[in-house]
Amino acid sequence: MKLEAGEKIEHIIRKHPFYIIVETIIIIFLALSPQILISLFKLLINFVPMMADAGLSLSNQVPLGLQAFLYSLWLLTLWFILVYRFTDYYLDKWVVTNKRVIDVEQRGFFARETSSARYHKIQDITVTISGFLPTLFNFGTIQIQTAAEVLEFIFPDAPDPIRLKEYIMKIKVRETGDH
Amino acid sequence: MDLNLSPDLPFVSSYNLDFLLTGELWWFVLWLYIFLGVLFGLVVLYHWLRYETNSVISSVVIVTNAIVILTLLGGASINLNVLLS
Repeated sequence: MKLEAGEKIEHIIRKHPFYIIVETIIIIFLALSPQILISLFKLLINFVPMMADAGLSLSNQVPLGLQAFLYSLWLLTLWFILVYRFTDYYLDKWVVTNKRVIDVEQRGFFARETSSARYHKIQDITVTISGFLPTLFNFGTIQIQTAAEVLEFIFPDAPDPIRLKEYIMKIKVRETGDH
Repeated sequence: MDLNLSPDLPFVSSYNLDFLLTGELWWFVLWLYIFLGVLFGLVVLYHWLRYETNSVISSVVIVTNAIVILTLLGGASINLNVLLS
């Protein structure tokens, strides 16, 4: 992303971290899930004598080395997912400069889209906070209507969207003199 | 259907898990993950160096990613060697 001559970054906005935190918690739970399943399996063996009599235990069936090998690969898979999601989250942003709002949309590793709206082309900014969790954690969607090529800028899960709208409007007024 | 589950019957032995010890399969899986790990590391490196230049978080992500991938692949490889030795 190249800035124009005299252009200065005022603020960088990223999505509210709520969803990335939830995803991280799920991934941590999945990382621990084999241990939980093994513990449950051992508990089951203790409570079902027939299984114990028959010599059914996980270490008898699957060697410990293989369990550790598979667990390493399982953790690696989860790590890939976590880094992928975090990269997507962190590189997806709105850059507010003194001349325009730049929307950088990262879609996974192999798609990226950058578009911008100059302040004098901005017609309206709409904020939508919909649902229990967005209301509780104060995040929502900001839509900027423009008269430019890209008619609408949508930024979902923006943190504190009402204040953000006021902030962008303030810069717009400052830079263009429009009210 | 006769579900005779008396303890005298060796129902456990009916599981033939010898295939789990075939080295070729696990070596193939390990090499696949090594390939994916290297590819993933390079893609992450490219993205964070290109789009988050001069940022501390960029260095943290790149270094942590490399350490975690190397540790897990190293662990998997050691365990496979122990298993098949």
